[in-house]
Amino acid sequence: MKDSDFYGGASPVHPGSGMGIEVPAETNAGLNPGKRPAHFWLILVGLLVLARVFYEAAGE
Amino acid sequence: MTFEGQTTLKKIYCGSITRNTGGGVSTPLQLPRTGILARLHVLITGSVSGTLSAPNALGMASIINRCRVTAQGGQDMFNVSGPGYHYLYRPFVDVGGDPINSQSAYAAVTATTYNISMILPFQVNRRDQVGLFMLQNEQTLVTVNLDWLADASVATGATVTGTAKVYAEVFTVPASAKDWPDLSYVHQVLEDQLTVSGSGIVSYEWPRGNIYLRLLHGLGFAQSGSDGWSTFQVKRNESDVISDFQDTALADSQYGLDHFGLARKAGTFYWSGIDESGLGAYGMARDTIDSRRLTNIKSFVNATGAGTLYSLRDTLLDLKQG
Repeated sequence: MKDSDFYGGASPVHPGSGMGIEVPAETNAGLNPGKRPAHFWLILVGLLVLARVFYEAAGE
Repeated sequence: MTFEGQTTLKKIYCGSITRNTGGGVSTPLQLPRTGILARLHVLITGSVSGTLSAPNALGMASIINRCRVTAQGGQDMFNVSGPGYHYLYRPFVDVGGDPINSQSAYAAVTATTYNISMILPFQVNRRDQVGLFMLQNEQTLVTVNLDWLADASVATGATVTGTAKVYAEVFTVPASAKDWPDLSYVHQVLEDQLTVSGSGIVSYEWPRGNIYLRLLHGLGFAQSGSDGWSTFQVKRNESDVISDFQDTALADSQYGLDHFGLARKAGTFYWSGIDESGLGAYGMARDTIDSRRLTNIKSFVNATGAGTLYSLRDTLLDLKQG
């Protein structure tokens, strides 16, 4: 008896094209939204600098 | 990383199966395609009513004619009768005690409620990974199928109701395939019944192809049963006797050693390749028999009279071959 007889095709023993259902990795993503990634601050500072430059330019 | 560090065992409710009026085969219940199957709890309750006569000699356990767990609509992983399960297999579900001592499978058939629940192990014990079955696959279909004995066979004048609630214990699937457990064996538990016409030696040839963990026999067991056998031998390749019971008392002694001193049910006897290895037989496969390496292997039972010889084969099917 082949493994495909029990698993109907791709099986853990002979995956072939792979098992059929995606397995989502269990992570904590989304559970701690308070921490912001580093590039968030970079962009914020960049926008503030840009705003300052335009303010100075408008004042002249 | 190991499997144990990357998984959680969950108990999930799969649905229920209701006995049809009069008995027969119920609509199969499909198991959810989630997780790696470790074992099933099939909680079977109901009632018997009416003015009863000629109750089934096997007691309330007879209400289930066959319990099957089937893959892809035809490949049996579990196929046992109610009496075969309760009188023969139930004490072997895990470490050797009776896991379901609070129900009424051994009770005589009377007009009352009953509980003949079953625990069906796929993982061979609660520590070792062998026998786990991957359910989380789009191409795999596993169903639980119950065949309920007809009312008149439970007892004359009986009306039987029944509901089976099915729960699965499944391990979550680790995200990385290298952390998956060993899934290369299917745990197959299959039961044969052979009519014995009278006293004398009856031989049962074990079907070859699988790795035998246990061979559980019954002859004469019943709600009020007795030993329908006097001697029992297991012989490999026609000449190598590996088990020689010249006395039913040896079966009592063996059962007590394997089952914490519990008393053997009269009419039951067995060969085991794993229980002899100690508590729960965890991690030890010293005496299992790979029947692929044998010409044949047979049980020889000296029957004391007519009856039915039950042979319940607890085996592993190696998926890596073929």
